[in-house]
Amino acid sequence: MSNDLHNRRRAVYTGLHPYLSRDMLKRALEHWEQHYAQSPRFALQHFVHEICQLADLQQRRSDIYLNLVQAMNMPVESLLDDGMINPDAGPAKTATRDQVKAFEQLLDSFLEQLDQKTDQQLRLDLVARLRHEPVPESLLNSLQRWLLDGEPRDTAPASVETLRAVVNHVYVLLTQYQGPVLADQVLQRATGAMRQAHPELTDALAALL
Amino acid sequence: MKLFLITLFCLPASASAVQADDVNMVWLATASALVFLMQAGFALLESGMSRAKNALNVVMKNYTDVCLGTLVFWALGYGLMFGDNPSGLFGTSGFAPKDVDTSTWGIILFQIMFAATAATIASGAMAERTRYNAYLIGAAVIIGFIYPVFGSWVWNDNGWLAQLGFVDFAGSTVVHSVGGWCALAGILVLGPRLGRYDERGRPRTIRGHNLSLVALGGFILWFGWFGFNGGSTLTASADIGLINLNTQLAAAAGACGSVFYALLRRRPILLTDTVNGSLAGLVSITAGCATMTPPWALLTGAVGGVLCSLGTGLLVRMRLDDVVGAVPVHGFAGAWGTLAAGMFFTGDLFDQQRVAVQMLGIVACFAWVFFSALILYLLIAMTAGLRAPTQHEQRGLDLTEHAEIGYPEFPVNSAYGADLAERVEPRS
Repeated sequence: MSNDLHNRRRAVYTGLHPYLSRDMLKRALEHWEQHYAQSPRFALQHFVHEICQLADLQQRRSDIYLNLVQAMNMPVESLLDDGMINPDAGPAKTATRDQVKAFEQLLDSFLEQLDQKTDQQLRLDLVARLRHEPVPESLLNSLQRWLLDGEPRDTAPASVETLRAVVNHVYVLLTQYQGPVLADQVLQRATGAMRQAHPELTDALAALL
Repeated sequence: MKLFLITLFCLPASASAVQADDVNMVWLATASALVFLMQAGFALLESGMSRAKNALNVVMKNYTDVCLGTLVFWALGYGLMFGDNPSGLFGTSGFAPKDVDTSTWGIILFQIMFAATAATIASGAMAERTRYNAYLIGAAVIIGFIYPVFGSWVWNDNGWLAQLGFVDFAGSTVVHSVGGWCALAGILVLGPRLGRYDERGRPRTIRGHNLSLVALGGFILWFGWFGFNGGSTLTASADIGLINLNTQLAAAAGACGSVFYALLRRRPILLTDTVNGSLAGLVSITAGCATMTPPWALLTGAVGGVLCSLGTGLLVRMRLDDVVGAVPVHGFAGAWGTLAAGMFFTGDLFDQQRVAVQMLGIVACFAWVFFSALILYLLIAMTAGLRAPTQHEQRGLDLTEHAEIGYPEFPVNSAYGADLAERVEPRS
C-alpha cells in the first residue's frame, strides 16, 4: 500500500472514528478503499451519504462530512493510526487459490500474445505503474520478482479486486502501445486460450475480468 | 330572416377557420412525430459508430434522454424559453403548463422534440467513456436550463437576439450549435477514449461496429428533418414546399461536398464521412430553409459538408475525441448555416447589418453554451464523476452500466460474453 493511500486511509479513520463502532468503521474503511480511494475528494460527500445510510446516521451527516474534510487536511503526524489495515481486512477478502492461479495464467497468456519488445516494455511499465497504485507491497514485490527478475511465479496474497485491477492496468498499457482495438483482441485471445487450456479456471477467470 | 341570412353567410367562413386550425394542428403533430423519429436516427447512427461493447449504452442514453428531456422541458424548459420575457434574457412564466389555448399544446409537443434533439447531440460525441448517470444529469441541465435560456433569446418574441432581427428559422444555432458546443465542452472535460491517440499524439482509428446502422440512422435523420424544418412553420402553409425542397437539396449537396473534399484530398470516400456530410448539409440549411432560394440552399449545404470534413480533421489535430463527429456536424455546420441564412436572405442578399447580427448570435451562442456546459461537466466530474473508470472501458459500458450485452450471441473480439452480464458486481 502506497504511503499516500495509507495516510488518506488514516485520515478517513480519524474523521469517522468518533461516530462509528469498530465493526462499522472497518466496513466503512473497506468500502472507501474499494470505491473511493481513487475518486476525487469531492466524492467524499457521496461516501459520507452512503455511510450515514448504512449506519443510520443521517442526522449527523453534515458533522461527519465536516470532520472528514478536516481530517483530510490535517498534517500526517496528527492522524490516528487506524490499526486495522491489513491484519483484519486481508484474509477474509483474499483471492482464492484458483483465482490466483487464473491471474497468473491470464498474465502469462496475455504476454504470450505480444512480440518481445512489447512484452518487455509491458513488464517494465506495469511494475512502474503499480508502484503508484494502492497495491499491497507484498504483491508488488512478488510481481516484480516474477515479471522483471525472471523468478518463478509466486503471487503474494491479495484481494480479487486488486488482482482484477492489475489485469486492467495491463489492458490500459496495451491500449497505449497498440490502441484499444488490438488490446481488445489480445484480451480476447488470451482469455480464449486460457479457457481452452484450463477449463477448470473459467469461474476464477470471470472474477478477474 | 336577417338573422338567418347572416348565419348562412358566416357559417362557411367560420367552418373554414376551424378547419384551418385543425389542419395546422394535424401538420404540427405529424411534424412532432417526425422529429421524434430523429431520436431513432441518432440512436442508430451513434450506436453504429461505437464499438459493439458500447452499442447498447449509446442507445440507452438516446432513449433515456428523450424521456427525461420531455419531463424536464415540460416542467421547466418551456417556461424559461417561451414564458413572459421582460428582460429579453429568459422567460419567467408558463412552467409546467396545464391550462393554455388549444394551439399551444401542439407547440409544446413540437418544442419538446426540439429540446430532446439538442440534448441528444452530445451523447454521440461523449460515447464509450461516459458514466450513464452523469450523462443524464448533464442532459437534464442542458434541456432544463442551457438550451431554453439561449432559445429564449432567439425564439421568444421579446428575446434580445429576436429583437435585433436574428434569423434562425428552425434552429441551426438554437438547436444544433447548442448541442454541438455542449458536446465540445463534454469531450474537453472527458478526454479521449483509452488509446485513441498514441504517446506522440497520432490518432488511432477506432472503427464503429456496424456501418449499416450508421447509414440507416442517416436516412432516418434525413427523413425526420422534413418535420424539423417543415414543421417549424407551425402551420400547414404553402411555404413547406420550398422549405423541404431546400432541406433536400442541402442534404444532398452536403454529402456531395464531403465526397468532393475526399476526392480532392485523395482520401477514401468513407461512409461515415458521407453520412456526416449530408447531416452537416441538413444542419446548415436549418436556419435559412425558409428564407433562401434553392441555389443558395444547395451552396449552403455543400459548404456545410466540406466544413464538416475540415472540422473533423481540426478536432483530431487538437487531440479531441468526438466519436461520431457531433461537433463538426452540429457545432461548426450550425454556425455556418446561421451565417448563410443572413448572407443569402431572399431579396436582401449580403446585407451587412443582417450578417453582423447573425455573427453576434453565433458568438453569443458559443459564449453562453460552451462555457456553461464546461462548468456543468466540470462540476459533474468533480462530484458524481463523469468519466467511466478504465475497468469499465475494458469491459464495455453495456456490461458495466446496464449489466446487459448488445450482441449476447456474437461477442466478436470481446472477452465478455452474456454469462458475465450475470456476474458483474453492483454499480459503485
